[in-house]
Amino acid sequence: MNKLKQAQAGTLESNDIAITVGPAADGGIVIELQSLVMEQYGDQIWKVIRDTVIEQGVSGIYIKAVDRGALDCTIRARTLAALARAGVMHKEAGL
Amino acid sequence: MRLRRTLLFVPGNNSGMLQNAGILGADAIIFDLEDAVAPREKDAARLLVCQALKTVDYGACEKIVRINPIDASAQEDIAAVVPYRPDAILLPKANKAEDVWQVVEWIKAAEAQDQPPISIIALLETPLGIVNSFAVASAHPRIVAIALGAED
Repeated sequence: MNKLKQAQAGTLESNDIAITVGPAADGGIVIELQSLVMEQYGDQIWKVIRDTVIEQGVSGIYIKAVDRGALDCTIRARTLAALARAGVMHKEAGL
Repeated sequence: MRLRRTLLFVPGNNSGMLQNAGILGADAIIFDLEDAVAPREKDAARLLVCQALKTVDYGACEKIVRINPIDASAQEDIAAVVPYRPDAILLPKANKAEDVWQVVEWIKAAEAQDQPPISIIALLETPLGIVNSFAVASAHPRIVAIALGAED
């Protein structure tokens, strides 16, 4: 997945999440997550990001996510936007 | 006929406002992809509105999406949001009947076969639109209302 560019989507406002993506050295999916609610929802946030990336068929990607209490739909939308801006979103209507 | 006494405009790229828009009891929520969204955030707003329409429960509120004008990214907006089944599209800068016909074609191309037809509300914002208001209002059966965009 060497065509993946570094890209960012989302904000650090309440109820949002800032997602930054870039190429990873190996072929996997590396997620670095910071969240105000890591204890309660860290696993779920991580899962939504990972599932969205897998669904788009992307690998070899590093993702940094800074969460400010986003719902699942926001996490998914921001992840998709970052992937689209990185040039690797293919399976969603729109854009 | 639906009541549209209170219309709550929500910026399409503001996740906090999008997730809470349904709790205020407005007759309609207008998800704004136009003036409330910075040009470089149009793509992200489109995706955020789509995901909100898909997952957030807006109760009895009518769900309306204000798209960008037809000479901007209206076609992309329609292709993105129509599959997520808003009740209506708010068409800005509707100047003539042909504008409505164009939008109807784009909506039809994006609608699923089992999907209820999406209505159109035409926003008259220019002198030309006012002069042609009857032609716009009667351009197609999907037009359910016209609105005066006088703020800008």
